[in-house]
Amino acid sequence: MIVAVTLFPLLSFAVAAIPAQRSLRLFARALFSVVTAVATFALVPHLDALSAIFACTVSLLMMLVVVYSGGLFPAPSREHRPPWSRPPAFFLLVAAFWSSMLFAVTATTFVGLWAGITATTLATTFLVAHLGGRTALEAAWKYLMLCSFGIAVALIGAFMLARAAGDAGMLAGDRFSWSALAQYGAHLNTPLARTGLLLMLVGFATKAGLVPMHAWLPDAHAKAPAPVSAMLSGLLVSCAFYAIVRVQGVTLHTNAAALFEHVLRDGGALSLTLGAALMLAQRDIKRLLSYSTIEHAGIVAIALSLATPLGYFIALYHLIDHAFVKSLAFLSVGVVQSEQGTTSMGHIRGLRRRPAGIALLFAAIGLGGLPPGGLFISELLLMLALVSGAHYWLAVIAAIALLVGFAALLRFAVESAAGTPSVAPAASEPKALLGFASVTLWCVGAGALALAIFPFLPQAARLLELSRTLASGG
Amino acid sequence: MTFLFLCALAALVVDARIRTALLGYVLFTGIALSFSYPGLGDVRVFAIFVALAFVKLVVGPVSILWLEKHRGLRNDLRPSFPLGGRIALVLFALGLAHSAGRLPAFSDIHNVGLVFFALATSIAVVIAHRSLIANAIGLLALGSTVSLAAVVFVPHVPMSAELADTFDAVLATLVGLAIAREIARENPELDVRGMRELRG
Repeated sequence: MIVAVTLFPLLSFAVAAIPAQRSLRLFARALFSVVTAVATFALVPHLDALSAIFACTVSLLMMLVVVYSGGLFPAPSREHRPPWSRPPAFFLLVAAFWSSMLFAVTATTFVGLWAGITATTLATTFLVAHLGGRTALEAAWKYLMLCSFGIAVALIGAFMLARAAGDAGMLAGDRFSWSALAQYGAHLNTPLARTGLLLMLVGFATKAGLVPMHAWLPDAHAKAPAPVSAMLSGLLVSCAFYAIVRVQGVTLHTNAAALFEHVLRDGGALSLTLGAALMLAQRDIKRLLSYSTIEHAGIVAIALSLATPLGYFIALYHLIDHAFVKSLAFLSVGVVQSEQGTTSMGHIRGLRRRPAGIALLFAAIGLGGLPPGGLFISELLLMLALVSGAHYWLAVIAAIALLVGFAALLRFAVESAAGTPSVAPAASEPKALLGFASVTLWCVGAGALALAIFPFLPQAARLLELSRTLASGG
Repeated sequence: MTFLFLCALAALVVDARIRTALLGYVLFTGIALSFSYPGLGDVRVFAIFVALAFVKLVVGPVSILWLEKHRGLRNDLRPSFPLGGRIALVLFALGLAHSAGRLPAFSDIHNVGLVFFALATSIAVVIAHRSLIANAIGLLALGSTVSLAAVVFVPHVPMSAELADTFDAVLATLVGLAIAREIARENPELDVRGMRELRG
């Protein structure tokens, strides 16, 4: 059943490409997206809690992104239209990305997880290069190279861990299963297992965009079309962190835990400070949001490095909330770009006068960590966790970095909210379809708002329970 | 055999011609595959092995040669350093692999130094040349390195892992070459110096 749901987006989108009428294709894709999302929710009893959370988030946001892309298809430049940029190919690649993410978060072994994560790279390279033109193609090349090398290192790490498990007498069939490896953790206190676990962390951290393996992220996220940027920033980074949590689940049972947490904490602190500092230097809204992703990846890494129930709660809540808010930000940038014809921060004006502009302002302020947004809650909890864990210096550095990141986003919000839109609305898409995209924005925004009140609901106790299980190595 | 293996990998970095580097890659991959030759005992396993060998040894290199011919590229990987620098890089990789193989973590694993040398040269081929074709060859070599690592670290590695790795390496190369073909429209030499505008 899990395999069927995983493959469904790819197969159904191939079927949806058959009808000759555009409206019929749009309807079929929207219908199949809803079916996939419903089927993913139906899978929940068959998955463990962590997989269920990520699978549902992936399917919910992908459904909305597909509907949005149907309404506002990112048109490539006429001079440099790559052969893969036609709508059927675009949606097939989106479906392949969806399938590979579902495969990754529902796998039960490191090889399955690796295969899913690596398939996301292959599916999204063409999507990054969708708009054509020199910089988009080069960003795609850089993305493919760095992520392929990074993820290969993760697989070599998994082989080393399997060898160490074999040397300790573990059965051949269990050597890639994280639940079996966790049970066998006490026998994995060897330098080989430690090296393997660290290489896996480095490999998956490349995909998560943690500094210093982040070089691909700002280019790929900024040069991709808006819905692809939303998928990459909101979901792909979350899936990479899912992989890191799975590796950490094994590490907690070994003597590599302290070193693993140290590396994660240092990488997180570097990502947070560098991401926030570089946000100040950006003059393009998509690049600003890309560096903001690096900043938030740093927050999640620091929270995970605490390896406490509160740390896991912060990391998971922050990842899910960030997925919604960042998707909202990129999707509304897509509408603003179609209305004003630019992503240059110096030229975007009058955001408060248009619904998509208001959505972008809401997302920018939310990403800055302003109350009452959900990201404010997780950042506040992180500060409290750092202080209560006596990580005073890290708390100070994180507080300064968060203020810098907030200042960069606030500057954009203040500059672009005022005035009148610089360019008249483009008429490239029919109004009904643009409305389709706008409805999607409101749905993602409603999701982000719902997540902001989530910690105050009784259901938050279930996330805390999961966090306790993860912190105890379960 | 080990000497031939080292020479094949060294050729990837030292020689600046596309075809010599591809020859080095094919030789390296052939030797790496010989480590995992399953014999004729199980027909299914043997068939998968033949498919893997075909994909690695034929599909990858032929697609690079096709791009070279189709785009009229010069038989040149555009080295970043002079010959002496590239030889020094190979010697450095050799020293690094030798030292890594002697670390306590790997001291009792046979042939582990070869894996580290293959890994180091896969990365070095990208560093030592400015042509995107060198990046693609590096990616293919990395795929074969992962296969070698599988045999060295987990002798009974599940076939699914090796299949996934092989198709990943070759698919990544094919995807990369499709992108390179588009890049060649504006950057006919496929030189990374023409890609300096991005500031990730």
